[in-house]
Amino acid sequence: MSSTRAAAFYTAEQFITRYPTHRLVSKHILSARAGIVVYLEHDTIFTLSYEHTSADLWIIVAAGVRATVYDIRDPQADACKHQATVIWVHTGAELTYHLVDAPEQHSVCHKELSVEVEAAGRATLYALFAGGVDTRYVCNFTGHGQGAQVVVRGAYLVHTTQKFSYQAQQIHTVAGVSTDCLLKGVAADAANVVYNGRINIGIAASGSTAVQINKNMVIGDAAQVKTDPQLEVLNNQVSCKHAAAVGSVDADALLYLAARGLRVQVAQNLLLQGFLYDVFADAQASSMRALLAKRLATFLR
Amino acid sequence: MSESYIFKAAHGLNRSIVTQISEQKNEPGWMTDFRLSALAQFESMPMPTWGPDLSALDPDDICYYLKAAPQKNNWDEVPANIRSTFQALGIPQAEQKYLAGVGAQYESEVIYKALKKKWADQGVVFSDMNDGLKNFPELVKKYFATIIPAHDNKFAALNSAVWSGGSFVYVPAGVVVDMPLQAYFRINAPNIGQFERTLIIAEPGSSVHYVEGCSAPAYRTNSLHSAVVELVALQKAHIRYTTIQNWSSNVYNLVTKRALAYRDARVEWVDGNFGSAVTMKYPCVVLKEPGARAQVISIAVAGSDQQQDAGAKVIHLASDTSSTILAKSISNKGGISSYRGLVKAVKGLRNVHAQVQCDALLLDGLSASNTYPSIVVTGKSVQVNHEASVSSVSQEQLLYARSRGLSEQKARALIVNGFIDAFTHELPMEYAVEINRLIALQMEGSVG
Repeated sequence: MSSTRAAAFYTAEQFITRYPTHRLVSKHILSARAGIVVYLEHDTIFTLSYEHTSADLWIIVAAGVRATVYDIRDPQADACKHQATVIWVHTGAELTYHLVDAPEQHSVCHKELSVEVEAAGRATLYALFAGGVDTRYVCNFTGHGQGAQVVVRGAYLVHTTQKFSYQAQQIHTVAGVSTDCLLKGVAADAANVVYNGRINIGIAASGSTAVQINKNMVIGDAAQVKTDPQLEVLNNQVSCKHAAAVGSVDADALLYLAARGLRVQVAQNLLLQGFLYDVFADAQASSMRALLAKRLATFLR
Repeated sequence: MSESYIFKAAHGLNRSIVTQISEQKNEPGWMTDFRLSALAQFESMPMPTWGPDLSALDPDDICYYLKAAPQKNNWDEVPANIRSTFQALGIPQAEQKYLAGVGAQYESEVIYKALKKKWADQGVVFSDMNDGLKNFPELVKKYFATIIPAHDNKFAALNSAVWSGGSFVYVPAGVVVDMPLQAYFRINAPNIGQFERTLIIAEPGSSVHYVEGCSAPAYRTNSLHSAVVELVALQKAHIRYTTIQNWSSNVYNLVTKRALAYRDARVEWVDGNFGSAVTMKYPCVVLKEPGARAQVISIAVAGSDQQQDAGAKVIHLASDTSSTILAKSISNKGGISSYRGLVKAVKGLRNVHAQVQCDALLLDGLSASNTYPSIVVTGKSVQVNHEASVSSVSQEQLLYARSRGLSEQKARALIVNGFIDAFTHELPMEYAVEINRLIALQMEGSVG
C-alpha cells in the first residue's frame, strides 16, 4: 500500500484504540478478521496498490475533505479474492473512487463493498469489473444524513464461461438521502450475469431520491442474463425509479455503420463502446474511459 | 345463518371429502384419481414463504364444498335469496344489455348459466366446468391441467383436489364472439373455500372476451378463493380475460392463471384487484410459437389491512414473439401493494421483444409499495425492457385541480383515476365507470 502525507494508515487494532467511538468500528471493524484503515484527512488524489494480503480495506474521508482514490487491482494478486472494502465519507466530504477489478481469469472472487455517506457528503464510485471465472460482489450503499449522496457508475465485461454476480442494496433509513446507481455490462459467449438490486426506503426516509438502472448487452448465443431490480418503499414522500434492460446490438445501427464501410465486427465493437462509455461519461471519469477502452479491446478480441 | 344448502361438506380436507366432491358430481374415474393425486401433492407441499404472510389462513377451518342450489338457465327459477344477491350486483341487467352469456357461481357451484342463441348456434360452448367435463370429455381431458398441472404450486394442487364450478368455454374456429361472456363468482357463507376451475379453448382464428367478477360479504372469519384458470389460444386466436376482483377484506385470494399462445395468437389479461385480505395472483402467458403476442394490464389497489401481491409472467419459448406488461398499483390507508413478475426468454430465439412498466402510487405514509421483477434472458436477439417508479400525488397536481374548484378529496380521486386510466381504458364502458366508483370508495376518508 503506497501512501502520501494526506493519508494516515492504521491497523484495525490501532484504529480502534485511536477512534473507539467511530461508527466504522462497531459496524464493520470489530466483526472483521484483519484489515487496513486508510484515513484521508486532507484533500488528495490517492492511489491504492495491493500487496499479497487478504486484509479488508477501510477507507475514511474526513469531514469536508475532497479526495480522489484510484483502486486499480492487480490481476495477479491473490489479495483481492475475498475482500471487504468499506468506504466511509464524513459530513460534507466528497470522494471520487475509481475501481478497476480485473482478477486473473481463473480466480474465484467473493467480495463485499460498502459505501456509507454522512450528511451533505457525496461518494461517486466508478467501477469496472472484468475477469475471474466466478466473481461475486455484494454491495451496500447507505446515506446517513440529510443531503448524503451516493452515485455509482459501473460496467462489466463477462465472456467465455465466466460468472458475474452483483448484488446491491441502496439503503435509505433517514430523510433527504439520494442514491443513483447505473450498471451496464456486456455478456459474450456462454457467460452468466446475475444482477440483484434493491432499493430500500424506510418509513423515516422522506425526501429520498433513488434511481437504479441495470442494462445488459448480450452478444453470445449461450450467454445468460438474469436481472432482478427491486423496490421496497415505505414512505410516500419519495422519488424512486428503477429500470432494467437486456438486449442485443441494434441491427439497424449495425446496418447503418456497415453501409458506411465498416466491417460488421468493427461496427459491433463501436456500438458496444458507445453503450459502455455512457457509464463513464462524466468529465472526472476520463481515466476510466481509457481503462475501459483497454479492457474492451482485449475482451472483444 | 338462515341459508340452507343442498350439500355441505364438513370443514377440513381429507381423501373422504375429495371423494365426496367427486361423487356429488358423478365424475369419471380419471378425474377422481386426479383429485386424489392432487390432494397428496397439496399435503406434501409447504406453504409459500416468499410472499405475503398466510399464517392466518387455517386450511382445517374451511368448508371445501358447499352446494346452494341446482343450476338454472332462467333467472326466475333461481332461488329468490340468491337471485336477489345477483340482482343487487346488476348481473341479470347487464346480461340483457351487453353480454353474450352469463354464468353465476354461488359458493361452490354455478347456479345460473346462459348463452345467447346467436352464439350457441355457431357452436360456442359456455358452460360450467362440470358440464364441460360431462359433455365434452375428450376435449377436457386433452387440455385440463396440461397448462397448470397440479404440482405447479400448493394452491394449484388444492384447486385440483377440490375444484368445483368455473367455466368451460369453447370457441370454434373462425368464430368471433364480439360481446363479452361474463362469469360472476360470489362467496356468501363464512369460512368457505371457492375453487372454481376455468378452461377456455379458442380454436384457430377465433376470438373471445371473458369477464369475471368476484365479491363476498365481510365476515370476521377468513374465506379462501383459490381458482385455476387455463387458456388455450390456438393459431391466430385471440383471448381477452378481464377480472374485476372485489372480494371483501376477509378473503384470501390465491389464484393461478396461465395461457398458452400458439402461432400468431394473442392473449390479453386485464386484471383488476380491488378487494381481499391477501391477493397472490400472477397471470402468465406462455408464448409457444412464432408470432404469438401477450399483453397484461393490471391494477392493484391495497387499502387498510390489505396486501395485493400481483404481477405477471411471460415466457417466450419461440422467436418473433412479443409481450407488454403494464402494472399499476395504489396503496392507501396502510395497504401494501407488490408487483411480482417474470419475463423469460429461452435460448436460441430471434426477434423477441418484451416491455414491462410498473407504476406505483403511495397515497399516505402508512402504506407500502414493493416491486420484484425478474428478467431472465439467454442468448442474443432478445430485447427486454423494464421500468418502474413509485411516487405520491404531487402537490402541483392537487393545487391545479383545487384551484378549479374541486375539493381535496375529489381532486385526489381525479388524479388517481387519471393514474389508472391506461387500465380503465381497456374495459367495457360499464366496467370503467364501476372501477372509477370503486376507486372513489377506496379513497373515502383518505384526505390528509
